[in-house]
Amino acid sequence: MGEAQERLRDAAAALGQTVQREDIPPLQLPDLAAQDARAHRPPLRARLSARTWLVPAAAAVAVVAVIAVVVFVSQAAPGGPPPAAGSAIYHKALSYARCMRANGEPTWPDPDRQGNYDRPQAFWYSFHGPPYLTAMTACQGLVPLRPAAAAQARRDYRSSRRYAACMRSSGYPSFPDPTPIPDVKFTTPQIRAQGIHVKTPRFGSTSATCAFRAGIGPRRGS
Amino acid sequence: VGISVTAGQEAGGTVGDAVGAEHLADPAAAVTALYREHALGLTRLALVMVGDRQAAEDIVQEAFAGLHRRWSGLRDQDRALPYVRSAFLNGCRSEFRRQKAARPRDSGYAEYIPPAVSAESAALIKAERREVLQALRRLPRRQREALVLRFYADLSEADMASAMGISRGTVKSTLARGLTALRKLLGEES
Repeated sequence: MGEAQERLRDAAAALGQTVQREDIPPLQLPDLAAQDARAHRPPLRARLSARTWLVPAAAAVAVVAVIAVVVFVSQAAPGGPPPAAGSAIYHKALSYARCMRANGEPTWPDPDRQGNYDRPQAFWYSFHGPPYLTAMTACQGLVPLRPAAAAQARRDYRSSRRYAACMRSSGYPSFPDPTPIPDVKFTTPQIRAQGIHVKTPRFGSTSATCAFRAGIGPRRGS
Repeated sequence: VGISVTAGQEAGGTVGDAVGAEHLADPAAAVTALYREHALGLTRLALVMVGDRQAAEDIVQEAFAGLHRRWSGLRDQDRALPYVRSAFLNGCRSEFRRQKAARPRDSGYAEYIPPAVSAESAALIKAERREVLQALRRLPRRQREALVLRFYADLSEADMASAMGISRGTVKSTLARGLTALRKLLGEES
């Protein structure tokens, strides 16, 4: 019993390993703006900014977003040689994986030898549930971010906290803090769970003001 | 992963990369960030599934290009992941149908060498492993999918059910049948 599945695991893993990160071609996308023009519609950006209050609100919630968990995967990409097997980042990623498993995400995968979470199953995590949040909070100090990304994550986290504090003192006393590093985001369900209606002009303008004060306002013309 | 924007368009959700504001206005950036995170894992998964490197890359590209086309129509960007997952599996299915159609009628399964094991990766894969992969590709589509998602991607039965669009009961029975068939093909009959 079980031998067939072990052989399958082994063979599939060996085949999978024949593809490496550097083999992956860049994503080729057609120009959506051109398609919009052909369809006689204003470009997406114009359509978005037509809904005026939504944009700052969106940006407030969005900017704050998201050093995604698996983003630490892509940290390897820009600049610098990939770390060697057994490097500090690998050990950090490994401790993170162990911590996540011990704190409510029992199927969290180990990183590969570069410290990346590339195994396909990482894709299937939805990262929404309370167990994930608990695990993430518990393991926050172990997130295997490379230094530049870690600094950025800390900045995002600080400004997100400032934004949340501003919201709390501006008529939304139950406004939640952002999710921990590396996620750093606010989500609509999270905000709604506090009994806050996000689809109101008052929320929009408060959010825009707080985003501006926290230094996470929308970037214009980017 | 990563994308969890739950905020959706109403309150501005976003996707994956370090800073999110421009993602709202720029689907290409959002989709590209997602692709960067997931392309390697998915390409590996597709390769195991269909056995052809080029096809695997195309399937993944096409799934993300489809996401990009539909981006502004996604009411809730939470739908991004489920969309890519099902586009990905559909891509694998069409590729498999294509291979089947291209296979000479009378050569039969036994003689058919799938691209995975004839191409560049052959050198890297031992004969014993090749035998397993060939056996895998001789299974019916659903069994093969189930075995790969379970034993390569390590998905739970619940995740498999939603990815494959079948019930958990069907996942269980498909897995059991797939394993039995695989054992038979590998000469491991009990």
